[in-house]
Amino acid sequence: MELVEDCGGTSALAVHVEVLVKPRSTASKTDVRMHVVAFLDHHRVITGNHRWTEFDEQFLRQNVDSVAIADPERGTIDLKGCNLTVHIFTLNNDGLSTLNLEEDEELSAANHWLLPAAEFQGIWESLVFEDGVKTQLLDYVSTTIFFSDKNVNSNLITWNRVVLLHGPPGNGKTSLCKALAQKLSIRLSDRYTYSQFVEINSHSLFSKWFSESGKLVTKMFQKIQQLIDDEDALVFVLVDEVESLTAARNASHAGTEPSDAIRVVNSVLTQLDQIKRHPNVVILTTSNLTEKIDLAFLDRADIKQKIGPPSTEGIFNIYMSCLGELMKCQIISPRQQLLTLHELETISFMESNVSQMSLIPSSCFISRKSKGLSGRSLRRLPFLAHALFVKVVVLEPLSNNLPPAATLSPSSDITFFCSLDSNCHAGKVSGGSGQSSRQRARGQSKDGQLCMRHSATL
Amino acid sequence: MDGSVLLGEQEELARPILLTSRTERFITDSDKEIGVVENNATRTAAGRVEPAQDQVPASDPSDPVAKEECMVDVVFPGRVTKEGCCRFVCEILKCVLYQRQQLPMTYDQLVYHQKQQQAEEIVAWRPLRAAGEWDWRKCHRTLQAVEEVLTHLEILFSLSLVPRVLLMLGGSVLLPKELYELNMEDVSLGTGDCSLRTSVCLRQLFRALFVADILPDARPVRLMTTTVMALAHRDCGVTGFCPKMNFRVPVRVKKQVIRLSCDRSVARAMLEHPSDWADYVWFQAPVNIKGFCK
Repeated sequence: MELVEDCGGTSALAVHVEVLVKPRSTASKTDVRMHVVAFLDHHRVITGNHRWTEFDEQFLRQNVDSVAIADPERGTIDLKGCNLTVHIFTLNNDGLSTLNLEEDEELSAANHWLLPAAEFQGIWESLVFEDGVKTQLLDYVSTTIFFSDKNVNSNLITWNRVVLLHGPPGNGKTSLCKALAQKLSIRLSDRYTYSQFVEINSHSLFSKWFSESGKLVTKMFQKIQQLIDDEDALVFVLVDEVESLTAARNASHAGTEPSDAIRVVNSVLTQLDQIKRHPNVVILTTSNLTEKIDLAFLDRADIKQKIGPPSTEGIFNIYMSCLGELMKCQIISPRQQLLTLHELETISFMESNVSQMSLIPSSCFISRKSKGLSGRSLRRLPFLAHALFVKVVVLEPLSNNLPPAATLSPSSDITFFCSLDSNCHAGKVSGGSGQSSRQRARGQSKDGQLCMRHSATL
Repeated sequence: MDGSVLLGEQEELARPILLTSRTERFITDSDKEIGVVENNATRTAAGRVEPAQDQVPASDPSDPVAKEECMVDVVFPGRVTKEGCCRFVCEILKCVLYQRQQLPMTYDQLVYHQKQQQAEEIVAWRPLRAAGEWDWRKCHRTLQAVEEVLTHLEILFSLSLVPRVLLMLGGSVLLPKELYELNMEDVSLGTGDCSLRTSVCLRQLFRALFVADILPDARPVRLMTTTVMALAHRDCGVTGFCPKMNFRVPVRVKKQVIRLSCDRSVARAMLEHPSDWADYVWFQAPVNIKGFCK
């Protein structure tokens, strides 16, 4: 959400509307835009995170998959008073292709996606961070493009187009990079005809030949340069685990690091300085070990964002999305309505038939127990819980599309979180105590109330 | 064009396996009529037709002429049929795959060999795979992909006018290693009775291609993936090909253009082309062809 000046001089809220067009649709963007604007005219006040997938109109039914207003930071939006920016996009199903440095090289130096990619869809929504990290990153990239547009002298005001995300593993650094690229490729689709995402395999840039590694890095950046040369393309370069390419050079003073590694760092630094002149490139880097990164590289990163473990609110949202997915796949049935944290707050966490399911993840026991776990561990819990405590899966033949045999009643799902949380620490389940808890969980899974008491005793 | 002639041509293309030079192979069938081009060709003692030294026939200055390094202009002296256009595309696809070393022999030869091999396997009751022999499973996969693309092309051509076709080898859709474009925007379409025979046009086309030498095979090429894109009407209702609304023809790759057209003075189109191609969008073939070598 941002403020833009309209012609009358007063400010209006700009709302981004993302329209996902069906892959087989051949309708022109103008037609789609016209129909979507007409469709939105029928709606006035909506929540900030709303998605329509079913339409009455024939044209929209045939051509459009979904219309989404993706602005979770605002509670409700009055569409009449807003400037609607409609982004129309189709997903690319091609999957990744590889970039090779040498003709006869078997190992690929980089993976390459055409954005918006089907693989990356939905990551942005699934990531939960506090303090508006996602919005900040979006604004950062918009600003780099804005400054380039205004021809700001980069000698006077410096920006390097480098973002460094760091923090403990499993909290969504790499996913955030992919999601950010996807989101920007959608938001900037009017400006750039297509976007590309290049993920560099750092380890493939080290050669067995002495002094060859630095050259490989240069070659890699030359390949990227080829992509950037096309001004219609927005290019995102992801260097995952960047410390392998930019290891602190002073470590070599101790004689433990060969000078070839220094050349690699030098090469990366000089190439980054070359590449930053182009307005259509963003370099995204991630690292677990910031203290190992060369200072000169750290200095070049415009944004150094720490991505820590999720907060209590984040944990709630993660569990809630897990529950939603399990219901969608009919592993938990029947499907029940899930309330957001905001909605629970308005009813002061009162327990009722409607709120019962939503209250499970927000109970202080689970929140307390889950604090400090990484996002990856949290999202693994439902899977582990099913694997270790349900164990009644009958696998159907592939061709058979019947619902799975093992379905849980919503109340028994409470055991998923309770039983695992009592056993796991930092995502690990200990074998011995798991056994006893498993027995307990089996006995109590018949009745949700029992489980709640069980959690309280723990 | 009647069906029996087309069948005959399939065999013609598959036959000349024993010739050593790849370039010679496609012009050996010119032992019948070939119209304008044959007047400038010299017949060798072996009965083969060698290309003339001067590339431009005296009677028709624009046929065939390579305007620049990467452009081949082929002007047909009359109208061609819609099925004929499809045939040109299919044959050029087969030819590019072979000349650019994505297939160890021409498509038609491979199909023939595969059938033979399958027959042998049935007789021998066991797979005949030995050291140095072909991996027939891979071969079969590639042939199946080519066949599928050819079938889908036929369907597409029957549903819509196809002014341009792209053959992209290697790399990605945005930055392929090699790019061949078949431009048929200026082709005058006619019905079977008052159009040129497809076989005659094919000979003229391949003569022009080999004289211009746009498919060199001197240097070894690694195996790549071939993607076929075609421009067709947005409402044609094709189901096999997938629309790529955002696709733009890559500009940073050297493009080899084969431009087919009809001599306007001789042939006035029976079906008028649209003045602009605004309603034509790019469609991508549902399968990519992965190269295969022994």
